[in-house]
Amino acid sequence: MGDLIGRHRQKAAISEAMKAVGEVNKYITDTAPWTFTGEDQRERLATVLHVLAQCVVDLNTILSPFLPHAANAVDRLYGGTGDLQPMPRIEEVSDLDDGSRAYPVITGDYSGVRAWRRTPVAVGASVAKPTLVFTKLNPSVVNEELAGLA
Amino acid sequence: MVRRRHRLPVGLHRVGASHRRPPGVAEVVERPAGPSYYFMGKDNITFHSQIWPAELLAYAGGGSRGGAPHTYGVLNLPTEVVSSEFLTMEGLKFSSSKKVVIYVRDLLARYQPDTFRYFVAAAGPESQDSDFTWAEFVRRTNDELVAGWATSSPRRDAHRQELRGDPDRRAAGGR
Repeated sequence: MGDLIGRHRQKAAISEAMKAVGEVNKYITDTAPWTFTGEDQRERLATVLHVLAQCVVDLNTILSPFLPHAANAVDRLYGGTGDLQPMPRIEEVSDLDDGSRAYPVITGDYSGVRAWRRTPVAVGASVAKPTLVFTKLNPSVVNEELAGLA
Repeated sequence: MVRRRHRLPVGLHRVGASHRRPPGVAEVVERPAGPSYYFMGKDNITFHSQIWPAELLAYAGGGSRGGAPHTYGVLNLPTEVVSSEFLTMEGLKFSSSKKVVIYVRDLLARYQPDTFRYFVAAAGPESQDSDFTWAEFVRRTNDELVAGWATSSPRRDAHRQELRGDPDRRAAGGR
């Protein structure tokens, strides 16, 4: 996937990432951890949850170039500090050839960006209370926006 | 004179360093090397992949008739020209005067920015013309981000509980 992004094949890259998302969802369905209710299944439940936590952290990393706001939010749930994907900012600058002229530019400081690689989830780590990452859109949005087109 | 071979075309950005100020003439001359990526629509491919490089070469005396580099020396050729195809909306060509337009301020006021980033990456005009429709935007947001990714991310496994794992996994390091 990194190679695809490096060659600006964003569509193919995100397709690969979403395939992996599908695989993890299938793992959840197949293992059905919510059925592990017995005391003798606690070890199995813990293992499955740990695998899932690692999958989520990994998926969050690979999706972070496409979903930076969500990625930062999920990263914080799993104990990350700072931004997984720093955001650009608008800054007023003066022209280098004419100091009296100023204008806004989109810029950013990306020198402290974390390496794009796996972060192991420590066994025993706590996961913060989940928050909504994406909000489901009401289908009425379509007609509302189309009305503005006319 | 290695540095002279790596000067940037005036006014174009490069990757690999923070831009506290936009590159101007003086900064272009002073700054060391960096790859340059040109992002554009397909109508600009011919200019930026043929005419513009020819002008850069000619400026530096790199053409078939030779010559000496001018004031800013040898300028970098594009590292890569990244071009997209055309994007329409609801089958219509974008036009602010005809109100076929999406303003960023409206998007940010009504929707999560990542949902649009996702749509453009997943369904944008990367290799062929594509059409933005609100129905498809809603579908991708709800089916792929909410029901797909958001379902597997924090909801099911974040129970604020200890992740005990099996003995093999206990060996894993972590944050």
